[in-house]
Amino acid sequence: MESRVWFSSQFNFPVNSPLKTRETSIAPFTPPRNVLSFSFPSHAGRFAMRIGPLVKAVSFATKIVAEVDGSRDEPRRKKLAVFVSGGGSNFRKILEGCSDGSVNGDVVLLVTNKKDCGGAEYARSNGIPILVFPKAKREPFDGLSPSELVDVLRKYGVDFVLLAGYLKLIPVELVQAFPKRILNIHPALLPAFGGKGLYGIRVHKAVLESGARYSGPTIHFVDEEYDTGRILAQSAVRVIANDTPEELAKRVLHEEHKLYVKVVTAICEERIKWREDGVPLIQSKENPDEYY
Amino acid sequence: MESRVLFSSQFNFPVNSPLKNRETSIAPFTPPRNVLSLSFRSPADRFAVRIGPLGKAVSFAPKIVAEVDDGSRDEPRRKKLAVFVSGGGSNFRKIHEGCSDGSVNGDVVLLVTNKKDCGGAEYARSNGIPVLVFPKAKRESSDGLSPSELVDVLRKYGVEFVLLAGYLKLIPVELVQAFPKRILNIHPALLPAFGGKGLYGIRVHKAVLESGARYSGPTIHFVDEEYDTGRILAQSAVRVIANDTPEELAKRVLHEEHKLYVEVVAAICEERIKWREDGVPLIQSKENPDEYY
Repeated sequence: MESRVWFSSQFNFPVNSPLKTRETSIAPFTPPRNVLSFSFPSHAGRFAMRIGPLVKAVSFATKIVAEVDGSRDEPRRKKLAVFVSGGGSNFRKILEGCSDGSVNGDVVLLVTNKKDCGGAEYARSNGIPILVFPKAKREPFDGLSPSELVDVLRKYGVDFVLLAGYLKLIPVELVQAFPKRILNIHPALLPAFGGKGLYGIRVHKAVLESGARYSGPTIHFVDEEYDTGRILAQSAVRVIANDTPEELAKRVLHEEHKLYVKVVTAICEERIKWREDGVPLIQSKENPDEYY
Repeated sequence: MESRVLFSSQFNFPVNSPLKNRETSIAPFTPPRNVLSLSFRSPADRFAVRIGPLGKAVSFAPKIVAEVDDGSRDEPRRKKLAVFVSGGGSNFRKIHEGCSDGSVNGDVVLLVTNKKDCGGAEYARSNGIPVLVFPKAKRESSDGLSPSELVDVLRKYGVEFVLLAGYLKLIPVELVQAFPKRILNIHPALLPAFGGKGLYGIRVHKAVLESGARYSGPTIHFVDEEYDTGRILAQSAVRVIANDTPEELAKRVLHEEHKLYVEVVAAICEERIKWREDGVPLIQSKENPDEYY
């Protein structure tokens, strides 16, 4: 299997994982097309900024997952990739959950189409590798193709993909490679106020204009279109008579944070069950007979 | 103005309203086309069953509204309501009870239905409320009311608000234009989700469950020329449970429908609907006039 070149964080991989160093050169170069290609110009500084902290180029053999200390009933820690385009507040909350023990998982990769966005900055300061996808049109070099993106995610051993304010449509190759493993959060009660063009503050404006009295976040599995996959969780926020879009957005965002952490906790503990008609349910942690 | 022939309930109209008896004959006949035409056949009993309790044929001059007795002119006068149903009429019952027990400052003066024998029509008849059939069923051989005739009847009755409560036919555009911001509908889901043509009754609740949505509940909205698209006036939320059947969800939502519709009708009869600049209607709180919801 040909070796793949990519750039990982400064943090160490777990000691017992079988990594072999194939190349130590970090001089910029143009990789052959059939290798994982990242867009970068000759200038190392710009390259570093674009991709994240630049360390040894490594390649992976098939990973061995470190087992948890003795009990085999505990689900293993899950590997999460988060996709953002903006500030990344949901990403932060999820990462905090991973650190403080409430989430049985780790964010191993951040993917963004905006290399300087808040989410990317936060990833960099926390040693999480960043991948730019899709590349901006004005970039002269080739970026990752969708199947290359899928390859990277597989190489990182990603179990779940979490879209947290990612504004690009997910390529169908990714959806097909990760069935029932990609989640998105939308700041309205789907199926209302969703679809192409309805993102960010535009959603809250639409809610207020309609006169709807309730809104709130929806977390759903992702399929090939915007906001149409199976709904996994929602929470309701009352719309107030003199709300502005910003005020409503703030109240909904607060609920988004709580809901996404709760849902990610549940998926990392394998508490998602599928009803016969295809609706996904979350099994309660406290009471395994209860679903919501 | 040509006189209109109407068939009204056995109950008396208020004594001070200027009604004049033009005809006392109740023998069935085929009215000329330019008079209000109600579909009926020769046997009197079938006629009686179709239209409701048959009293004297009367015609209206423009009405004088009876003033409230206690002298206060700040109280809004009692409003005249027309309710449209196609089915059981449980919302209609609740509204009617509200009118009787004082919680609603109004009276149901007319029931309109496309199903003359439905539960709502039966309840209306047993409570002396006139029943109008609209639109007539296709298989009826005689002409029914045209949309503008329907509008005329409503005007003659002095109807101020039209309340759709499980009425499955599309409201004719003539009616929408004649009663702007005066027609309300209740839909058993949180519009704009799960609404539109074909989404009524249990089909709504099935759609909600299939989507995996975790919240549902009634929406009351003003009516425009399409199904379920007018401005939303009120909603209440009901949690969807993991093992709900459509019937169980329907029952929980119906319970909220009753509460919400009575609350909203009370508000419209007390003139507590205010319109925001962007066209969204709000309900002014009765307890605290500075509060809107």
